[in-house]
Amino acid sequence: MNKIEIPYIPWRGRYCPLVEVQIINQDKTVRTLAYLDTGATYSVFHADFAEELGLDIYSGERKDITVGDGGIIPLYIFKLELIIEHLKTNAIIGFSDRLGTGINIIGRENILDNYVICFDGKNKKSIWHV
Amino acid sequence: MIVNHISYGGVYAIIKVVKMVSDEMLYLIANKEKLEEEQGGKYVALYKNKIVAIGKTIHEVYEKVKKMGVKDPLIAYIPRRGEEALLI
Repeated sequence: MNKIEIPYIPWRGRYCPLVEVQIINQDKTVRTLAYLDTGATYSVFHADFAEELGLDIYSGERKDITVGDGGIIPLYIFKLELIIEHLKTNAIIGFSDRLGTGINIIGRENILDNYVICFDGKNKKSIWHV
Repeated sequence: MIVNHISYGGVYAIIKVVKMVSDEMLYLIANKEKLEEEQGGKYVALYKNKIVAIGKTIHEVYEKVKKMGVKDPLIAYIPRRGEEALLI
């Protein structure tokens, strides 16, 4: 059994489970940060990253998701290669041009649900059992 | 990489504990406070141990790094004041 420990990153003075991710579409790659969100069904990235990956976001399967204020935002879903630290997976990733924050989200569907993860807030790190 | 030896009822298991963080993440962790003060609400491109581009949008940052010929930078959003607490 291996464990991968990823330290939390400070976000305006509070430590958060932000991780570095790479999304790959054929010969194009983007690297950015994403928040590990066990409350989110889908992973959501800003639409600009889809364009950088050479994707037409509107060609993805549309899913409407409900957000915290009860509003609904459209997501466009793609199956892409995702690398979290050095964990490689074929992930279901949604892109949205209505994401109202600069932060991307890693959700459960096909990503967090594939692993045993301990959110060790006391020691400010997430521990992935792989 | 750190390797721990752990005993489960007399049976020993070897658990590899891998701690890996990129140069860009280390820079971000070390300089986050300063970046939040100076670049809050913007996107930055990090490459190795420095900021190579800053912009208001992801596209703006990518345009700058492409002109510079930087390959695979880490693009990060720097939170502005008032974005301390998150509900995601």
